[in-house]
Amino acid sequence: MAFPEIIMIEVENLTVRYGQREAIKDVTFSVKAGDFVGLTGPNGAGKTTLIKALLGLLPVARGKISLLGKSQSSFSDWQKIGYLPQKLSNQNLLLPASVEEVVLLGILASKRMPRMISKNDRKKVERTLAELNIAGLRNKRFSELSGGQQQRVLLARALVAGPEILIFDEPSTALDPEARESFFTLIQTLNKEKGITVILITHDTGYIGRYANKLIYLDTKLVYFGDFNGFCKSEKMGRYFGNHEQHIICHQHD
Amino acid sequence: MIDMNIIDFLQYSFIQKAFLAGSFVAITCAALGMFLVLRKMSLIGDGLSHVSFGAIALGLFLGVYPFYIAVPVVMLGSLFILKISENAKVYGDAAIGIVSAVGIAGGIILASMSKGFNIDLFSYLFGNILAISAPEVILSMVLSFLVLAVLYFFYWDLFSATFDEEYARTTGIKINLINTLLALLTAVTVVLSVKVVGVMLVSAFLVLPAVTALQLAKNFSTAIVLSTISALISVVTGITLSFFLDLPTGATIVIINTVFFIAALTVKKFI
Repeated sequence: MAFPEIIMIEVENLTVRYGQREAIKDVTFSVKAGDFVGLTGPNGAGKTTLIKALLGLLPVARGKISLLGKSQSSFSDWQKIGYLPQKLSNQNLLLPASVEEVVLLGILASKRMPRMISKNDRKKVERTLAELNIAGLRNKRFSELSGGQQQRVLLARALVAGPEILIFDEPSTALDPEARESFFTLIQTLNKEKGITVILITHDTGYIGRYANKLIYLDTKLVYFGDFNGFCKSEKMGRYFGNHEQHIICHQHD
Repeated sequence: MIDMNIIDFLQYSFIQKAFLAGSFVAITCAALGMFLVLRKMSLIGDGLSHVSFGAIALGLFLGVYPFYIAVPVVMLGSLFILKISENAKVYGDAAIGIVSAVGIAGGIILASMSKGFNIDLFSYLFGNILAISAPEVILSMVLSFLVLAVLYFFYWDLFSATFDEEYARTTGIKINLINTLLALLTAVTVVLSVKVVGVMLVSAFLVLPAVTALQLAKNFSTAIVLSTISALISVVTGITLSFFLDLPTGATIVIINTVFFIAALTVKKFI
């Protein structure tokens, strides 16, 4: 699928602070329609902070974020951005949420107050669950599902409103290698066949190279932004990682 | 034990008023209580009931109908709990403890300053729904409608914030607004419930139907329905039993709620 050169996300000189500490500093990059961007870096590099700033969950100390051509501060089309967090912010095992109810939450961004759910919304949920081969889970209790099943349900929640951008925060943490492979292949299919732009945080720089066409390496500052082959050939990255480490990372990609 | 047939019992106007007001308050507490329990805000009901004690004492002291003072004062108390736990870095349960103690202390001081209304004030401690007046029934129904209408229109926002607060924010839901709304609705509901079960037992009214339903429900909407059904049956049965067995009504309702909770725990083991 060929994509026009539309800028989906533009970040300019972005700085985000926790108190006095700069969690990310002067970060600049842009993501085009149809890109699959792997966002990687060491622990504490600011990867999740960057994602949260994009989603408006953290205030911007300095710099600018544009989403789908609009300044983030005035952006309101949140249904166009699907988000799959690493874990639920307040997972409550007592809460008897069914899979259908969880996925319906993804539709709320497209609603104005008062947010009401229609029969059509429930049909959208049914279709999305069927597309992800989890239609049979619809009436199950979310908290009773396996980690892999929960991940697919949360992906359904991110997809149900028909987003143009999908943002994942370390989606493979709870998955075994087989489930991870299957999940990443699914994301790649969504990217290639539906044209959804993807940003995915991972620790595994080499592994994401199999799926992503672009790579952001963050270590508070932006260390690298470009395509994966460029990363492997970059002398700057060779100096940053050491040639041996760079070779190992790039070897996993093959 | 009172010897009377059920038809005669149902013809008493004070019983009809008690059923009407009790049912509305029970449904409101059950629906709201579900969100409070799941958002780990159950104790706010307890704290605000103590504030309502102080506010009712203030009303009696000033010679004003206590509900008119209690509703705004308890609302302010709920906002105060919210703000000091958000801004002053005081844990929520500690904030509730502070407000709760101030409410009780204020009530006791006012009671000691005016010896005339002690009996009235202490009747609010344990509630007396059988003595509810017609204007109080209407007020209970109006306020219950108001609380239930807000819960209906914010149902999905509240559910989203309860399931995953961070994700809810990415869909444009204002979590601060949701928390403020819950605190204010709880304030109104607590004041409503004081007449039915009394200051001492309000939190049971908010918590027990919800935790009972959570043992059995497979999804959230069913949990809300089960919670309201269990609260409604508890109120109707509690009023009836308390009349025939000559027991205090509020306490009887709470004991029946507790029996339902134990039954739900037992049934859960077999399903």
